[in-house]
Amino acid sequence: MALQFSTEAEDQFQTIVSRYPNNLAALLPVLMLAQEEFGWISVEVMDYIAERLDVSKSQVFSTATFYTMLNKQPVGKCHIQVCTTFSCALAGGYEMLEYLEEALGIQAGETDPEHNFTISEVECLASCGTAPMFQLTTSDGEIEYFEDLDPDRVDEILEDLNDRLDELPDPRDMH
Amino acid sequence: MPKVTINNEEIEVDDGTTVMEAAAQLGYDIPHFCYHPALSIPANCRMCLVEVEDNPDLQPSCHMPVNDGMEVHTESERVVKARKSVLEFILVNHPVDCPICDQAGECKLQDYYMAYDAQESRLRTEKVDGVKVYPLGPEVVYDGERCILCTRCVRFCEEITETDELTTAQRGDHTEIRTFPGQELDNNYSMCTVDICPVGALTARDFRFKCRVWLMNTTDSVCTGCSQGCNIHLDHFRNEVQRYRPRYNPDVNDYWMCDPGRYTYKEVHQDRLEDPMVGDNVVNWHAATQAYVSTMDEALDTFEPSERAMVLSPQVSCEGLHQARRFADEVLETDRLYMGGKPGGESDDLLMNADKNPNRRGIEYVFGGLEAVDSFESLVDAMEAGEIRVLHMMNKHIPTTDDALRARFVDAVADLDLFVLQAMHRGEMVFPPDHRGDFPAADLDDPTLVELADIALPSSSHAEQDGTFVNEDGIAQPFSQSFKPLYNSQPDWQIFGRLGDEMGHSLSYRRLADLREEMFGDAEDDAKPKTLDDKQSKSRAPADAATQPTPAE
Ligand code: SF4
Ligand code: SF4
Ligand code: FES
Ligand code: FES
Repeated sequence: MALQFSTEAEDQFQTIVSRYPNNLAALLPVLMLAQEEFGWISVEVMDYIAERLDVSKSQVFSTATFYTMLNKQPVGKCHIQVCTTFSCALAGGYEMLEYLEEALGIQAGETDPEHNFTISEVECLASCGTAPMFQLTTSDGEIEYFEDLDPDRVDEILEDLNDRLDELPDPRDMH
Repeated sequence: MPKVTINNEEIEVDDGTTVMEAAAQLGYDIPHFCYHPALSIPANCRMCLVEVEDNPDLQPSCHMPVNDGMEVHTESERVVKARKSVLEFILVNHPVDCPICDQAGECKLQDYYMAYDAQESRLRTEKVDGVKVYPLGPEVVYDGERCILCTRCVRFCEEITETDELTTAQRGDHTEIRTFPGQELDNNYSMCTVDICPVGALTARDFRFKCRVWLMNTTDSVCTGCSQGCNIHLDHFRNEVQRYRPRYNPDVNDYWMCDPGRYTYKEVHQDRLEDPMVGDNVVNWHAATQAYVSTMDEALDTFEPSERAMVLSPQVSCEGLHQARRFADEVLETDRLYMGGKPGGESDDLLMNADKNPNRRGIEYVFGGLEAVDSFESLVDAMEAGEIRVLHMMNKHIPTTDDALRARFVDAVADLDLFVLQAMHRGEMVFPPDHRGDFPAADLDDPTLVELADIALPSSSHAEQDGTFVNEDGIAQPFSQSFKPLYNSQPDWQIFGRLGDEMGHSLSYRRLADLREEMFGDAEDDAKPKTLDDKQSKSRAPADAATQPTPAE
């Protein structure tokens, strides 16, 4: 099945492309858009983007594989990216990571079988002053920072998320 | 024009010249990996750093244009130390498996390591493993551990073939060269990436583990794959061609050659007609010559000159053709000449020509135009009409892919009174069986013609003799002998000389130089192919090649 942006995404695509001097420069934001739209960056998605931007497939492949924020495999509905760089590490980032792993029953780099949660360990997300922190990306395209975390706060967040799980699309089914 | 001082020597260069190019003009070969004179300049390897006075940082000389008054040091202590450091970084994850690496002996990394680094690894952590044997396409195999990520191969596919197959994938020390999933590095020039890869990361399937490079000798030669006449290094070991590599010639092929052309070296060794034959019998040259003389003498008595014909081969050197012309003239006394050679094939916009014969323009030159040479179709017509009774054919290619015409020709040959075949191969060559099959169009491995021949004489390939080909653009290009004639073959020019002498005409030359002088020496200037005068210099890199840094091979 040939991929196709939804009408909304198509509008965004046009806006993005119009903002850049050439299509190659628009590649990165367009890939982000595609991830939001199609859940993850499969080979099929890269192919589609190359065609839409009229850049070479290998260029898209190169860019997509360079950036870890572009998921080349489907992640869970909630993607939790925990910072463990210096400030966070000092302020309890690792402890928080372990706490999360315990709570969700998966290790960093893993996705649960239901594809509800994925945990990743990442480098500094520029929120050092409010360490420890993680970034949450949900499959509806929302990105949110959670800062000054402690176990209680993490419990709260996970509870909220569990309530929302039913509304969130499964990235595996998004294209 | 800016004047720059390099290592205390002053030189005036054109605007826009880079420091590396200016240094090359003074004879300094600045170490480099990613720079290649035919490709864009990414300045990513940092091997070419030099010291520019009044500039606190070392500068990449491949990228930095010269300014008037600039003072550059390419061999200062700082520079040499930087080279050592750069090499140390490049080698951090390199497996140093030179003993099993095909590139060893012609590897820039190895050479520079010996010159500048020459220390044991100081790294005490484990190396990051890369992929070891990764086929990028039908011809090229990739080794991710040896790759230094200079991106020459990527840029080649982007800028020269414009096919964009290759790219870098992942990042940091996990970066490797890849194609888009499901695609292959499969273009007509894919093996050029192997040539320009400065290390052993890209190897040609055909040459992998075949021969250590230091064992081979190299001869300047010309590819016989098509009328482009790409200049090549013919690398050979123990009388066997191991591979062709392109040889720089900006007028003909720049730094490149096509993949099918590279495989034509196999013609030198496959399916050769090894010995002279009379009927079904293998004989020596003496017996073959005697047989030729007696049968041909009789045929000349019996048949009119117009009943004798010769098929010329555009696969043969000008020297061979010159003798063919004299032989037809003086011995056969016929002007019935026909065009032989391989049928046309694939072509593209870069180098490959449809005419798969290296020397059609050579026939034009030797015979003063192509008016005197008739088409193969008309030969078949004349043979079928019984007009031709005696045929001396050079090489056994039938220049058509039309099966009906081929069959008609073979039938007509069977009806001849005398059929002499002077050829390199038994079968009709016979393109490398495992190569993508569409070059040339027809390759019937069919020894019928040899069987039909009353007399068959084995001729030598271009690797076994000196000679000249005139390419599509009229550029005459000499090629040199790599080894003595294989089996019992002889160069065409000598075969004609021998036969002519025995037939009572003085046709032979003691030295090829005498023949060449006769052939090229007294020609009217404007009748000559345009570069015949300076053909010697054409075969090498042109004089201004000194202004360009040598590409790392
Ligand atoms: S494969 Fe060779 S040419 Fe290509 S990037 Fe690696 S080292 Fe350079
Ligand atoms: S373009 Fe023609 S001459 Fe050049 S390498 Fe290919 S076959 Fe040989
Ligand atoms: S160190 Fe965690 S946000 Fe900067
Ligand atoms: S940076 Fe100059 S040759 Fe690579």
